[in-house]
Amino acid sequence: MLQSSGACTARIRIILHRIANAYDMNADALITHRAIILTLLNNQEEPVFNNIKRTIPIGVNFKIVSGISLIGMSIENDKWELDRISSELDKLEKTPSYNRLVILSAVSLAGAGFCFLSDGNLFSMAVCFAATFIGLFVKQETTRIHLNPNLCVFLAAFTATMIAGTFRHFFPEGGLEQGFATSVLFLIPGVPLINSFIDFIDGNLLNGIIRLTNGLIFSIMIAIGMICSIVIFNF
Amino acid sequence: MDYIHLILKAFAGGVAAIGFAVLLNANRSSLATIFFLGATGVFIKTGLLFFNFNIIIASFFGAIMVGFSSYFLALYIKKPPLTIAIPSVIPMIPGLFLYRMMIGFVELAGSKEFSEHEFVKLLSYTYSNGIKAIFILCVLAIGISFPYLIFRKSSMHYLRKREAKKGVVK
Repeated sequence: MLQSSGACTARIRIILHRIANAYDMNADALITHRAIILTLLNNQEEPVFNNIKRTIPIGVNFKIVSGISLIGMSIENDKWELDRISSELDKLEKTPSYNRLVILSAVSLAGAGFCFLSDGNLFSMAVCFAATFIGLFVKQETTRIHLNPNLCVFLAAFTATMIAGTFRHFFPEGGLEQGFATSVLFLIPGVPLINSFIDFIDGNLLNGIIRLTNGLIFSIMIAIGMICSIVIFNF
Repeated sequence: MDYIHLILKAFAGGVAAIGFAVLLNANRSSLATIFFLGATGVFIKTGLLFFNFNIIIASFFGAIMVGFSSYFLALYIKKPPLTIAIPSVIPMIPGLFLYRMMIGFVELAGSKEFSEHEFVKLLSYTYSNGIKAIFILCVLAIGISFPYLIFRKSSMHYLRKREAKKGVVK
């Protein structure tokens, strides 16, 4: 179950039930942040399968979430064999993500869009584009050498604000406050925060708290990165 | 603020939403929907601000709109609703308020000497920005999950499952 890629607890539970019902079984699961405890009962209430599985903390990947959801639905309808399921899961895992340049430029455009949304002018949009581009590049590179994710976020925020801050230092009249503020927005942990609220409303309080704390730590890391450059440039 | 500005802002919101969708590795087929939803959310939010609504209420309506339309569009393009709702609500996150709150905290914690009047002024500036930002964040999350929670029980899969169960009993 590779559901650590950004699905909320309720969805995991729904999918588990869907798959188990397809094979006339009853699934009981304890879902936590790092592990899933799963017991399968057949229709005579005898335990068939009981296991603890550790989930790997990989990044958010919506392709996997929607893919597994679809697989669950087709299992329910067509009663696939086990081999077919695992081959489909392998295929899903190997689906390529976007080209790196595409990711970089799309996210930088998004940064410029953010800047426009908070009433920035053209110059600060351009600055924000550049800062986001290099910040995201730093984040990808540091993630690739398996640094601690919090440290990656810190370094990326620091680089992005340093670049925006350099421009702001040399062009103090350019109206660059917006560009500086929005250059770190690509790092915000939107998925854990929103998922945590959904978990709270569902009553999965423990998972909600875990996700909230996770998101808050990322936000604090962004804040520290930003504060470093604020102190350096003394705005 | 005129209408062209509004439309440009909506366009920027859509672009920002697409950027996030690519970052989160969403499916290629759902990108158009995400662009449309992000633009709609920002359009509603800035439109309501145009009529002097409170920014928190405006964001709430934007997020609710995104949530509901994402729910129905998700049934149409066969993807889980949250995978298109989350990227499209991200352009509404109040980056500038968060930034001002942080600047305020840095100055409050700094070693400068303040007179009492200055301190209170800075404190109120920091807190008003911070509280706005945090409330907008909460409201966005609630707005997105609202339709999801309302319709969960009546969703298509649930109905299908119930029919299947009835079939087994018969």
